[in-house]
Amino acid sequence: MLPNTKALLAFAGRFLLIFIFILPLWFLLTPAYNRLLASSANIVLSLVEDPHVTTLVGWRRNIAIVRAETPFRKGVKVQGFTGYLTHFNFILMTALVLAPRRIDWRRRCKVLAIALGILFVTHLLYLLIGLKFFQQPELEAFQSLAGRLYVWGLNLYLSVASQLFPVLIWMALYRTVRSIPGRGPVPESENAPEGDTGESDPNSSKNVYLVGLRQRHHASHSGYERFSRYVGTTLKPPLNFRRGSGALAGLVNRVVTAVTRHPRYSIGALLTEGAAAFHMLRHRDALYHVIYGDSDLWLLGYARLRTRNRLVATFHEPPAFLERFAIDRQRTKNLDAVVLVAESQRVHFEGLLPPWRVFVVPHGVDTDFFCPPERISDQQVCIAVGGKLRDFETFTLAINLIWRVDPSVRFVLVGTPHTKDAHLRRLRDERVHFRRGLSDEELRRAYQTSKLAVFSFRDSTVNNALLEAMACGLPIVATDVGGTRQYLGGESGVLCPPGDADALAAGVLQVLADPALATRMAAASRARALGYHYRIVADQLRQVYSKVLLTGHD
Amino acid sequence: MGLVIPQRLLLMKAYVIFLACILFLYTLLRTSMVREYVAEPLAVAFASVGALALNLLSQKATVSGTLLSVEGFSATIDDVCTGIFVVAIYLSAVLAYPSRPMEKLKGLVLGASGILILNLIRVVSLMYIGRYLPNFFETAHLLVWQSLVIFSAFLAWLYWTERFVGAPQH
Repeated sequence: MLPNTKALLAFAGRFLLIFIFILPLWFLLTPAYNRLLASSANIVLSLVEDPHVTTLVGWRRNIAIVRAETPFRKGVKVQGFTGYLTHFNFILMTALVLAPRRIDWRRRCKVLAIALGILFVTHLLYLLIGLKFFQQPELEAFQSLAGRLYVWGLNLYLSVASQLFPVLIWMALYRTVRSIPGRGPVPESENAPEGDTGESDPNSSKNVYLVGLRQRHHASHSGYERFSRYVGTTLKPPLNFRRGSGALAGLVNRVVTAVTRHPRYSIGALLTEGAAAFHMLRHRDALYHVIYGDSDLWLLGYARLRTRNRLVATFHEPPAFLERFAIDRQRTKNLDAVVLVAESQRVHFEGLLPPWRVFVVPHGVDTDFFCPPERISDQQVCIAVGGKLRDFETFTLAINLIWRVDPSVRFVLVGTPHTKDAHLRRLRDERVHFRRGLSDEELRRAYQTSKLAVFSFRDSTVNNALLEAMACGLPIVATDVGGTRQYLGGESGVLCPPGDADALAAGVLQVLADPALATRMAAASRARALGYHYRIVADQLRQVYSKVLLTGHD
Repeated sequence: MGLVIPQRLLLMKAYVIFLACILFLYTLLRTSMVREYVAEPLAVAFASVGALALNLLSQKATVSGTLLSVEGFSATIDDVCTGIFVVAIYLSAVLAYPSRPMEKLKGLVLGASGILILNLIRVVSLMYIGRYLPNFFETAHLLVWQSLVIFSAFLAWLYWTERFVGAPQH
């Protein structure tokens, strides 16, 4: 016998038991229910009937129709009955709701309340519409087409629809509960062997949705959102920006951050989350991945509580910034898992979530696009890309130290805030070339024409520019802070202590002076970057999704 | 890349087909021709087979057209009592559910047979109730059995979708 057949028979057995148990209850409650129904119908009749001559009275198991020739003056007469047959579908409805197993009682009560409410409205409509029919002989009604249609409809309800309604309502409501016996995945962890897939197939990411806005300063071949090409489906955000510009946008964002108490939250993030929450309410057993949990997560945590979906968020900022951005227990408690991009972030989440809900998955890079040049540049050019979390004071000091030893070294600084940063503003020299607004191809060309990449960090987890430079086969000289060591490994470059300009300058000069060392580092850099290809890292993300989806919901 | 029809559209289509089939079949069953050539012969057949079953159970039943009698109790079997409307509902559900024609055929034959057999049990049991518990007859006839037959049709449909409808159609 099929397991589903067993479940079906068990369901039928439970239904019969409940049906038999509540049947006597129905006879006790029918008079009261009829009075309730009659009273409700009388309220509607008093509004629609002019003059008001019809009154309904709950009478034992029936509802009597009392009609006064002149409203409430002359003697009244009972003109018809509407039977209790149509109301009995309450019992069928109740038994259907109570029979399935393993459904949360709150959810069950909610479904029962909605279902009985719908049936009550149906009974009321039937009563009001049927009044005319119950007061006149059927043959009289057949005199006109409207009358025939009228009788046809009432007969349809009596012979077919009254009993069919509970089944249809139940099926419609239980699409959200997903517990029709023998169909679909069994709720919670019932009969679910390890690795069992079903509709929530963890190995495919068809029910994984990525939520978030693109970081505008990222190259189109870089950024965390690039994972959407390999896992899940990206939910289109209503706005393509986070904060916008102008006074009005500033005011709106201030209100949003004040209300959410989230210093980095924005109107764009709120609308994106709102759209995702709406999507979430219409789906179940899906996984939603907020790709920038640091700045774009507030609403979905609450939405997740209302649905049977999973919520995962990736955090990119170093621990000190996570603290500053109020990524606390309140903000993370509704997450099924957090994804970190560097081991160095773990320390922040240790007290917030149990360890099995914290995963470290490295960031990715497009090693197909960012690739080494066919011929390695023989010019003494160092490249530095990006401005976030950079220690430009140490960097400018290091540049000056380098020039004291080798004045021929040139620097290409891409996307650095050279007009805003005081240290960079002082770095006015023909050997420093500031570049902004490069296309992806121009950026790649800039990497490919450089000898090495320099990264002077104040703090870091992972860095798109670092991965791009590694993918282009550049030796790296970087500050040993945050996740840099994790990504760089031991052979791809030189790591320097934070704030140490001498070490940074020495590292650059060492690589530039030793072509053999530079070649070894370049090869190691490229080899290491290949392991961070989006496709490979996406597999690790899928494993996280798999674990989260297979874990019980609550 | 083939055209992917959203699941919601398929669901809507199934609901529309289901409702259209129900309305069509109900209207069809209410026509005098179908009543005369299908419903009434079916009612007579039910009365005859019911009488046969009751006689096998030593109830000394007699039948006259659609009038079925046992000692101390008689009942007329009309078209609603044959379960033909429940079969129509089941038929609509099977036709609406996305499946192959052969699967639909199997579902129709087996499901309809099951519902009709259950209805025969209903008729026989109601004759017993009418004879031994006459006060409970109306309740059993109009309420209890009607609910149980529709529930059994629902179970039959669920079983058909699980057991007979191929996985690619889900």
